[in-house]
Amino acid sequence: MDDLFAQLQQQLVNGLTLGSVYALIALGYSMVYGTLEMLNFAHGEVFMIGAFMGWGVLGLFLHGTALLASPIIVIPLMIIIAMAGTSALGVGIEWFAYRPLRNAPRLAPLISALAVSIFLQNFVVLTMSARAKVYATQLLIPMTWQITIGDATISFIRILVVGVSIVLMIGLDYFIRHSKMGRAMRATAQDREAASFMGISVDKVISMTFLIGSALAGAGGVLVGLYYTQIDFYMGFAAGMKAFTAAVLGGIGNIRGAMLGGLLLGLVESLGVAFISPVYKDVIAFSMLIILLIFKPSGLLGEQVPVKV
Amino acid sequence: MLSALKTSYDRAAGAVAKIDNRILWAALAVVFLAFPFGASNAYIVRIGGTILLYVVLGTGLNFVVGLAGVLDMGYTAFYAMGAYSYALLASPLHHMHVSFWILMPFAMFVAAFTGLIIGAPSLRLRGDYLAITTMGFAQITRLLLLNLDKPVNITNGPNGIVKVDPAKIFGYVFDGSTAYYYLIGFFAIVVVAATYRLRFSRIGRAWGAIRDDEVAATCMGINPSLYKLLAFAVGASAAGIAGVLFAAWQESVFPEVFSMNELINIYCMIVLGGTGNPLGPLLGSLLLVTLGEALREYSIYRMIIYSVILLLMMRYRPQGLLVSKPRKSEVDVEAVLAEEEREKEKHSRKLGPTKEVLLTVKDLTKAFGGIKAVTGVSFEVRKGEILSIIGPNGAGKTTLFNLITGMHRPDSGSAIFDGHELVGKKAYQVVKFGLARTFQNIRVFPQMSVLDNVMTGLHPRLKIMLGGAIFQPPWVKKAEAEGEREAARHLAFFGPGLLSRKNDFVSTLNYADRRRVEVARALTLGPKMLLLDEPAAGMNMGEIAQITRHISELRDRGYTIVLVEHQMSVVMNISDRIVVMNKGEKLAEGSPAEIQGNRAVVEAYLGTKREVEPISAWETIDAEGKKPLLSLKGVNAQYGQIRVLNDISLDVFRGETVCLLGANAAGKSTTIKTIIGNVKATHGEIEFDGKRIEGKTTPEIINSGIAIVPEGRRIFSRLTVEENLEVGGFITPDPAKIRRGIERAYEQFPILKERRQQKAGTLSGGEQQMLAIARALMTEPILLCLDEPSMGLSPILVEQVFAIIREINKAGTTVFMVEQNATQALAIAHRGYVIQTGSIVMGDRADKLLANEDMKRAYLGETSA
Repeated sequence: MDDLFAQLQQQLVNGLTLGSVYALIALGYSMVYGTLEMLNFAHGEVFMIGAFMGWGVLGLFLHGTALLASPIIVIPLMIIIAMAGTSALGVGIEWFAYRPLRNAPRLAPLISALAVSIFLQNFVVLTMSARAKVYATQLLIPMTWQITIGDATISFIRILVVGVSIVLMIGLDYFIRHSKMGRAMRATAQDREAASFMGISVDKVISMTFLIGSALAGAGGVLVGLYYTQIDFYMGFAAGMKAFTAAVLGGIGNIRGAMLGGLLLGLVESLGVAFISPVYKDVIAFSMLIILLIFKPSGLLGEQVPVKV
Repeated sequence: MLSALKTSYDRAAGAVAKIDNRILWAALAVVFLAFPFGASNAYIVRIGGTILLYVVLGTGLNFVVGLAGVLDMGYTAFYAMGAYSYALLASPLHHMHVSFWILMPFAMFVAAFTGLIIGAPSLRLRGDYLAITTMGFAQITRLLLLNLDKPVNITNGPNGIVKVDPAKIFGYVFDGSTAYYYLIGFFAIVVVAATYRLRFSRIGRAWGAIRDDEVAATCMGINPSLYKLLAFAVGASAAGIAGVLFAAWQESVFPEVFSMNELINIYCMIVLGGTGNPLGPLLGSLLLVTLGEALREYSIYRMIIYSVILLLMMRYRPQGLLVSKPRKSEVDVEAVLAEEEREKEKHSRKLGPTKEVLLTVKDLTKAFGGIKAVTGVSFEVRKGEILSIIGPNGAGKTTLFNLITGMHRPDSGSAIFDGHELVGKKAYQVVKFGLARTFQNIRVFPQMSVLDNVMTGLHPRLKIMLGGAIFQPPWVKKAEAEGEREAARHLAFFGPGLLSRKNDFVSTLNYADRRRVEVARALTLGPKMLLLDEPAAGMNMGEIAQITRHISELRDRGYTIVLVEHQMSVVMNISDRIVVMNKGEKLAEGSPAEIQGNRAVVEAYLGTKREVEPISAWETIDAEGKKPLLSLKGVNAQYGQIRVLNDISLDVFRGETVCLLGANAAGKSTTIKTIIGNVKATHGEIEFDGKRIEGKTTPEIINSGIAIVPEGRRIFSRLTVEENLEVGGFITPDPAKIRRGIERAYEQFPILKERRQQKAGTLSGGEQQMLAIARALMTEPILLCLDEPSMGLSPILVEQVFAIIREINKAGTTVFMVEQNATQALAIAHRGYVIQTGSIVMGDRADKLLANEDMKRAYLGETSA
């Protein structure tokens, strides 16, 4: 019984870590869906590219097994450069693959998004090979850095993942709620035409949406790389589907919903791994998505939007 | 380069199109049969087999994506179902060796059945949700196949199933690539033939209708969920066939065969080949498999190339290499025209209104999120009459139609048609009682031929299901031919011109003809009653006269007609009775003459006369010799093909209030939208503050000093009142100025200050209008444009709003206002223009316009008997 309780505590910590990353990625899906009502299939790949960029930055500071600069400089640099790179990528994707199709039938942008996703995966395979890459996390944060609360051990890397995610999410929430651009984004998500009547350039707002969403995914990529220490070109697919699940769970288009959904999904998945079977980890997440979409497509915090005839 | 490529491609395509179909088919057959003999080695034959397998897969997926327009991302799961059904039951793994010919239909059934189970709950979802659900399902299937080797070994996990039995027939064992080439070829022919048969059958028309316009499809009596599900199951069973063929040919299956990449592969083929053409999957698979083999040594580039192909295709040629062609109908035009002539003769003795009641509407009420759209409306429609429903914008006319036809469910009340209660019935059920409708914004099926559009109306009466559509027994052919003649006759009702276009895509017709096709399609449903929603909208004068004649002819033939229409020339000329709606309620009912003489009706349209400060008391604006602040010269604008503005010229001088008046759909709002760049002027000049603005974007125009209060207010309902104001000041860079603007707004509208932290959606209609005005004033505009500021407000609020507008103008802002409520708008204006069907017909000082009797005619029309 004690054992079970300890297990439960440990899995809660795992779930929280996993969930905060899902939430980071989910935000991008949710923001794009909120403004364009479009599923950005390529978002998972943006996250993957972020992980590779972080890996690349880390590589610059490595000489054999020696770290050339303090982790306090290296880790922020990894995150910031990955965020900058992925935000540029996200804006580019929207400009090239989605903007020309904005008035096309719904199928067209979806297939286009799928194509971008395949392109990015294989571009990485082509330039970096299909072999998994290893993050030298132990050089940055020794495994021995950990604290114990009750029966759960919390490694410093977990604290970093959760901490960075929370800071970014609070930052985003504040930006969306209180900045001029954030208000313009919310106005545009609600009524694109009326927003343009206020002098808001809808194209710029949409670019901004992709920029922010992609930057968050890029940060998520670096955090996952640091946490799991292994990344590969295929990691974006499953992560993307789960983040989408998180976004739908919380109510797609709703920023706080995406955060809540991410955390919930992380917890459910961790508990499932512990108490059912690790091989069915993805099955649990995907089944949850399907059941959810069928029974409550509006999600936990979503609003029911009536369809206009 | 690209355009040169395009021209040469088009030329080549044109040449191909000229080849007789029979020659094409004969050539294809010869190539198919001779290929293994001509091939230099078994490797080449294998490639041939692979191509054919992808033809089966691609054609199967195209049932769902191309014919029914559903994005199925779980297709590879059905492929896996087929393959594993065979491999599990015909391999040493479980010591079972069931025959290929038993397992083939079994696997089809398993795949189709899984398709139904997955499809039934998820097909209600919107397209992208459906895509992700099916994608999740495909992943679950793959993970199960991978992991179901423990605790009990069912699938043998990642090692897959090997030593699968080959196919056998009459003791002959299929062995080697040539044998499988022909076996797979046989099934490819079956699947492609089924596409050919289904595409233009009752089933195919239902799929096409759902793909092109689900709402209109429902009103043709088609149950969209049912037919999407059918497409899903048919596609899945084709994937099942492919799975069995794959397992038998390869003598092994592995979970990784059915990966996401494989799905992308198949999608790429059908998108490249063309989803609208039955041979699209063939061409796509031919090109991509060959390309894949050619790039074998560079297989790493293959997926990159596929993705680039998909991207470029979506951007430059989303329809694919092979375009979809409309069906060539062989119907005997002469016979149809003769039959229509006889029909006309038969009804030369006119049927007309009777006393018998066909439809009784009682106390229908409907609210959308607290806003009452229709309140307690009751009326009767008598058999054989034309009943028109008229009323100002937002009166609830179209909602009333939607309630009667099952598009929306009323909150209370009843509608009894010919003995059937309509409330609670779905739109596709209502049709079967004999009620057909058309739509305000045309809803034809653009990717179908004119005649096929009309033939969708046969759906409820023809009883042809999947088997009948594929095998086409004589009774099916006969029923289809009869239906086709009837559909053609309904087209002929509008004259031989429209009938002669029967084999063209409906999207190539002009606007008026598309409206006619919609009426013909409704007639093909064989209805007792026709509900026509603004049949004359967007038509020119000549076409309006024609449609008016046609509608009255339909009544003469015994149809009962309910008409919603803004064109008073139509309504007043042909209606037997008129029901007037205003603000969701019935205002009046009577003959055209009674309605024209009804004071309440005239007021609903023109607004109430009240005592106002005479215009002469105003500082009159001396325009003499001055340059106008805003001037439109010869401006034209159109939506798609529909010309909405015709040579509009008008001036607004600094300091003035100018209003643009006119009936619904006259082009008032379009004028404002054209000024602010939301609709592009196709011709003419717009000058504001000395600069030409007609080519500028909306944000640029707003930045130059124009602000707008849009029609229907369009406040951001999920933002707070204060946030709405802040967004209104978006173009103002100085935060202090925005703050001052907000304070000014609160001073002017104290109620907004009280509600500053409330979500704007919770405000009342009048408060929302004030917020919309305050929001527009945030930029301190030189010119304020208001689009129907009085719409949907109670009389007391209307008065308030106009008083506010007057104050704004007195404070120095120039005002340009579009209004239906002529009387009150003119009372606060210096000058006014009247617009009728896209042209300015009057322009004068406000007081003179007020006194002008022609004004009333511009709104309510006149009876020209």
